[in-house]
Amino acid sequence: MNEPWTKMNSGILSLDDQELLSNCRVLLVGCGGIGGYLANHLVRLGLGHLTLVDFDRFETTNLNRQLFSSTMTVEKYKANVLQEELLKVNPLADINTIIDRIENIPETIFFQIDYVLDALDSGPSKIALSRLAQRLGVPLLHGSCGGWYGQFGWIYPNSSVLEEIYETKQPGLEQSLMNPSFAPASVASFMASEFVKMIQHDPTVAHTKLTLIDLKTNAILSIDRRE
Amino acid sequence: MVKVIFYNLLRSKYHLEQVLVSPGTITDIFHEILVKYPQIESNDLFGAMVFDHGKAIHQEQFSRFIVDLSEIIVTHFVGGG
Repeated sequence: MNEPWTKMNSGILSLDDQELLSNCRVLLVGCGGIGGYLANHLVRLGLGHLTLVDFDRFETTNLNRQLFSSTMTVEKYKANVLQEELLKVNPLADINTIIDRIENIPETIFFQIDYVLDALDSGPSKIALSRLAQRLGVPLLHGSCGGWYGQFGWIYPNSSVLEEIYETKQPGLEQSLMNPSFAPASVASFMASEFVKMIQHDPTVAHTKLTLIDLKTNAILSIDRRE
Repeated sequence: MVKVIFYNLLRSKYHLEQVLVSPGTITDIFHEILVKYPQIESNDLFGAMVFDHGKAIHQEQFSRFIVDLSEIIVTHFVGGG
C-alpha cells in the first residue's frame, strides 16, 4: 500500500498533469446519469476540487442508469450521495455540494472555478449554465444523451451553440427514446477524456466541435461549429 | 446541388449517409428527400435539427435558404443527462 492510489493513471498523466488535476477547481452541474459517471471518473483521475450542484433526489426511475442510485439511496439528494461515495474513493478530495437549481445560486460562489461541466437534463437550465460560464469567462464541457445517442463538446464564452440547440420547442430524442445506462456512461467517459486532454493542452481536444455519438451504429461524428 | 449528410437517428434508422438535392429552403429540401426516400417518416425529418456552416437550425427556421454547393448536416439533438 506504499504506492500512490493514482498509480494506474500514470501511463497517461505525468506528475505535472496530476498536480494540475489536484489543483483544478471544477463545477459539475447535474448529478444524475452523466453527472454520476463523470464525477466518478474525475475523482478517480485525481481531481482535487469538485463542487456538485443538483436540487434533485434519487428516485426509482433512476435505478436503470444513474451510477450511485440504489435501493439504499432512493429519496436521498443526489449531490450528497455522490459526495459521500466519492470521498470513500479519495478522502482527501475537496468535494462540496449545493442542493439547488443552478439558476438560483449567486454566481459569486463560483468565482474561483476553472471549468464548468454540464450534465443537466433540461434545455433552459443548460442555457442558464452556458450563460453563467460566459459570465465567469471559463470553458464549459457540455454533455447530453438520449436513447442510443449522445453529444459532447467544449463550449467557450464567445459561443452561443447551446442557446442555438436548446432554445426550441422541439423535444430532444430523450423524450421518446428515454435513457438506457450505456448512453450516459459513454458520454461521461468521452467528457472525462476530453477533460484530461484539456488539462494537458492536447491539440486533439475538441475545441470547436460538437461531437455526436451513435451507439446504434458505433459512429462518432464531429460537427465544426461556427463561433 | 446541396449535399445533405445524415447523422445519428436518421443514419442508423434509415441507413442513409448522404444525398444530393437541389438548392432551396430546408423545407423544400426535406420534401425532395421524402420523395426520393418515401420510407422516411416525415416526423423524423421535420423533427430534426440542421447544421448549416456550424449553426444549429430548428424547425422554426426551416424557411432558411440553402444555396448551391452547400453542405448541411441533418441530425437530432439530445438533452438528457
